[in-house]
Amino acid sequence: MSAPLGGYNIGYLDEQTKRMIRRALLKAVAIPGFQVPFASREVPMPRGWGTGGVQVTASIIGEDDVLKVIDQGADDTTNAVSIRSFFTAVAGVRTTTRTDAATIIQTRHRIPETPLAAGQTIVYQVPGPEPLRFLEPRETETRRLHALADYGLMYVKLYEDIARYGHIATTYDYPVMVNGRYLMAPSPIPSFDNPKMHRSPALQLFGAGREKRIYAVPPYTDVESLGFEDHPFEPQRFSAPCAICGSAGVYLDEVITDDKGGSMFVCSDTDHCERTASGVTGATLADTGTIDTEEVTA
Amino acid sequence: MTTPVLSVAGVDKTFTMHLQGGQRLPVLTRLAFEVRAGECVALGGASGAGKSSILKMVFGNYAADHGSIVVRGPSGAVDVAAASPREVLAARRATMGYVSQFLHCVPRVAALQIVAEPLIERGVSADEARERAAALLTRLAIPERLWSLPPATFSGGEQQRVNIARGFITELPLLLLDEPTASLDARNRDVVTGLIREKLARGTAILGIFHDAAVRGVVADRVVDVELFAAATVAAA
Amino acid sequence: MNDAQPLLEVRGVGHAYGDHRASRWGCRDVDLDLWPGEVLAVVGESGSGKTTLLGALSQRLRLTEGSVRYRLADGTVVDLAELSEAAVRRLWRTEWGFVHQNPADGLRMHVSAGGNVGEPLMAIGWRHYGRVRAAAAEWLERVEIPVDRIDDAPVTFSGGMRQRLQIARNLVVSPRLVFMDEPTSGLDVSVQARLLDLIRSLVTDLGLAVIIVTHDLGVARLISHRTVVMKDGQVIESGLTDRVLDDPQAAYTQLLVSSVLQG
Repeated sequence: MSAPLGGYNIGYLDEQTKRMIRRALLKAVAIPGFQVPFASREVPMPRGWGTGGVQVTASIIGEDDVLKVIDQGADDTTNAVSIRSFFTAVAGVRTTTRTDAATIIQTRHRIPETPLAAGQTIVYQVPGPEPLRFLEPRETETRRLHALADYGLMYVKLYEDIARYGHIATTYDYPVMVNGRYLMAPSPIPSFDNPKMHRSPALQLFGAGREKRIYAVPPYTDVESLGFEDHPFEPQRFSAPCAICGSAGVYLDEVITDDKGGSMFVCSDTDHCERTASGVTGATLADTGTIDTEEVTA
Repeated sequence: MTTPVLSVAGVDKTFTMHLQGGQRLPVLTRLAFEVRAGECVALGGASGAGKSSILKMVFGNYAADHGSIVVRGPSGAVDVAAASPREVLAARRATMGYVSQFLHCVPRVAALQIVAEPLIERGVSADEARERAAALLTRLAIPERLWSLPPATFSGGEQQRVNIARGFITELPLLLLDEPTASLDARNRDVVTGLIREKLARGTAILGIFHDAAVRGVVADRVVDVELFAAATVAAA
Repeated sequence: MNDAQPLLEVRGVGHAYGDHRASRWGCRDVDLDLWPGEVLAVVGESGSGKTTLLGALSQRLRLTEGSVRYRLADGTVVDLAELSEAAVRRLWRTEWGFVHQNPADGLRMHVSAGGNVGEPLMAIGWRHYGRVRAAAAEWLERVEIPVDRIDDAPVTFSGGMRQRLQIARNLVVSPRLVFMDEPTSGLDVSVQARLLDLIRSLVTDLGLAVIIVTHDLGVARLISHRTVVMKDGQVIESGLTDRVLDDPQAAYTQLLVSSVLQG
């Protein structure tokens, strides 16, 4: 653990701001899935780059925490590296790439493959907290819809998808019903990850910096992805395992390997991949033929 | 003596023409008469005496200024002059039918449907209602090729016969007839006369205006001279 | 259900626009009752207060004076002003309908016809896509919209078809009371006629209670049992429709009736 940068409060935000955000977090935890407005602060990155997640992490991080930051499942992409360095500098915390070693995991658009445990906190970066926004542009109206649990509109969207495409077309930021009461946007995680939210032992916190909303799912809360009785929610399926580590049943990214259109499908979760890899070199697409990314059951 | 199906007492009617400077046109004063089951009462008197107005007041289509118009039906007695609109509608449904002088029909509805509707509204199955309507239209010499057409394009006589069919198809205690044979030839006049006598034989009370003396002679039990109840003309207000 | 009690009891209803210093009464002193299965026409010219009255009764405008009591499906009578917003929303979802003059105000123009008609069902808890779609198709047929347009959005429909879609969307949950604000104005005459025929037959088939605002006496005569005539915010005359139109007592009613263009 290195000494934090001089001239900054621990975690960058001042203590009053942290208290304001913690109050919002307490409300959010008390009302699972409900969007709590908060006074979103300026942090040293522009809106749209994870400022909501950063503010939540900054408000809960302490000197004994171990922080993991991932972006699309990877610890080594630019944004993950940048945010991790930021917290190293201003909070002086230990960091890790191992999911099972972290106390706080800040994530953009993925939930790690390794199941989370009680005592862990996962902080999601949220671009658009309102699941009904694209159907109902008025904030005054969506607030009322949530207050009255008037969610027919969301089912209209799903109906339209089935009428147009034969199936529900949403594959990320798939709407969920939290604790049987509030409709929530889980952030643009792939629908593949939705089942991980259901009754997770971990505390799940969501921060939208630009939209100034915080929400939460306490541990062991019901999180149900919406669907129809005859068109139930179906997470994506992959027909082939990771080309590097051979894991099946994990979310895969397509990686272009050469100029001839060759590609391979590998774990999106880099930590999971590293630890599972057993030295077998991955086959490329050119060698093994086509690999399907979606397998829809009848 | 049986209770009358229709009892009119102390009825006054004056038309006030607000668009003509408020000119008042008194028509009837203290009108009174009764009609019993199986009886046909004809309203007599010169044109303009108020005969049609009387039928319309009984039906609730015109308002009576004073007095009572009591009709007795299966669900009890209703004073149409004082009743609420709902009570008048209930009385029309259960107790009295009205055959106007001219056919006022919902446009774009087929003749067969127009005649069947009063039965369908009272709970008869659509098929049975249409069968009975067909039988009545046949009897009134409306050819089958016209049954599926709206009557707006029919001749006056054909329209009147559709009107009569619609008024006669139900079995109600009181039937109001306004010049039922006016546009009809001799043959159809006889058919209508026959229908009226059948109704009377079944106990229907009928109040009617019959311009044709011969028809009146055949069906009417007595004539009420409306001019006996004429109101004196009053100068413009 | 007890038909001896009215569905709606309106007493002394008035709505004023503006604040107390410069207010103008849109409608005032309106008393009326509405029974199940009854169609009531509110007729009047522009500025008569008929649309204000409709707004006040349907809870879109707050009452400045008076009360509106409504009998719920379970028989209890409630004062509408005392209902919570959640209860009013529930009424709109299950027992009431509103047909707007401009169908675009009552539809989601970019959602498919099936989605528009299916939404009220999904809002009350229907969760089976196939059944929602089948119910929507049945209603499209009932309002004479070709079923193969079920996946088309109303932006692609003609005015008459949009209005029929709006009617289907309102009736799919079998409401007990439907408010209609000049549903046929702005449509071609032949389209108006077809629409009125449709409304008339649906009202009879479903036993709906309807309050319809119109400036057209012919519409009132065709589909209503009772008529209320309004002028300058007041009720001038009311009664059985054929009585009001054939034997008008008030001067203004006589003027209105005599002004109807004879074809």
